[in-house]
Amino acid sequence: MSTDERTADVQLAQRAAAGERAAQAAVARRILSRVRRIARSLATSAADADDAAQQALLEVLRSCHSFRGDATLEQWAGRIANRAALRHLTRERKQQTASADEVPQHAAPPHPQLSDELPRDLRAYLHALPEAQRTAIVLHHAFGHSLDEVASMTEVSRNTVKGRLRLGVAALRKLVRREQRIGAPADDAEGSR
Amino acid sequence: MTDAPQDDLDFSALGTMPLPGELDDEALLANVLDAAAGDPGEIVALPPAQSTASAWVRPAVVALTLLAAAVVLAWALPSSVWTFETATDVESLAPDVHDDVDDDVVVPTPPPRATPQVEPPREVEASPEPAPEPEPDPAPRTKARVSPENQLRAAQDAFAAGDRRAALARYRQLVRQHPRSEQAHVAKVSIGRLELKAGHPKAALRSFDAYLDAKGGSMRREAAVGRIEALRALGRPNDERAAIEAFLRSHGDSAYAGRLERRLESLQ
Repeated sequence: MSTDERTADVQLAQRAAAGERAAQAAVARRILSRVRRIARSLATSAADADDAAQQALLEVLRSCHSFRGDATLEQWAGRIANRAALRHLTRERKQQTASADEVPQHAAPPHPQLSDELPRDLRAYLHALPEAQRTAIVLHHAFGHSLDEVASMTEVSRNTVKGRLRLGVAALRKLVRREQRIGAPADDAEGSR
Repeated sequence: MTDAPQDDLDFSALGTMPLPGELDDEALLANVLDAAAGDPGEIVALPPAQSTASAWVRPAVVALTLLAAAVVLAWALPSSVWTFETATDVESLAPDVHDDVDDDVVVPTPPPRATPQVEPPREVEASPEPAPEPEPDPAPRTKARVSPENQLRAAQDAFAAGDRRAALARYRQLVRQHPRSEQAHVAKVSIGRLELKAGHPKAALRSFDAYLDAKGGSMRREAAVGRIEALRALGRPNDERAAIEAFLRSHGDSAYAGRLERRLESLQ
């Protein structure tokens, strides 16, 4: 990335920080697909994914004043957005757990689980894992964050991240292989949906 | 070094497929930019959610404190008791003011003879900071209303802080107090989504219907999709089918259309 590009990004962030809507839209668009990917990967429903993505983008816009151009705008904003999305989803899950007893019983869940409607892709298997392992896998393997970055984002040690990745990937493989053994062949399964 | 799950596990496409029912990119961006626009001048470093309340609660506290002193005086208590009673009243009133943040601040009408003739109690004078706004005039039944923009912002702040209950309460307050404002109109969609998330599809349906019954609004697709989700959660397949068909007739080019068509097939 050239110095000119970096300078342009810093100026863009400053304009966004000053409240210029066009600049805010430009910043948000630059990272939108990344933010939505991570939100979809970790959330358990579309509504949660939307909310996490929105909170993440807002957090980026609110932090624009601190962008100095040390990294690319995408890298810098991506880290902020990931943290914000993680925080939001963690809070959501805590609230859901806390209010589980209050939720009335319905014929269908208020937010249908996505795996009911989607083809059985990797996301469905990931959601069978413990949250901590899933988060570590998504951040490291899907989004390319280093072990140290994942450790920082999830506020655990590097070794803990390594352990979660090792256990999570092993469990994931086990799930996939078990389904391949006992379920229909993958092609048939896809075709039936 | 962690083992990379290369061969059999491909993470490259993870999260790239839109989820059923999610907002399309433009709607999501519009939400974010609208929320950001609600923080004029403060987006650089938005303080935690207390900022909205503090700007107007403080004058209310001061006003109530003064009134409490006036009431005590008017009841002509002996001066030796006066100081003690006033302090007690102030302490007992203060928490109520904070509790009232979710509703109108209604300052009770002072008795006609309540004109204070002496200095207010020391606790009130001790405030080192000038009030951000002039103190409210203790006129009969003064109502301090928050603007719809600030109420919307307060709701969004509560949501951002993870307090869905407070967010819902503030959105409702906005609709109740400024029913004709654009912010209240948009808030109905937010209320619907929060109700749906809280497992109250009936309430969600009412809110989405209220939005859709009014003309105009940039969130009609989202409200319609929310309505469909609410009908599904309520176990009303006929209504859900009709709602999907109506949606597809009006918004066949929407990003939601594909998965709604699939849902429609499964209903038939």
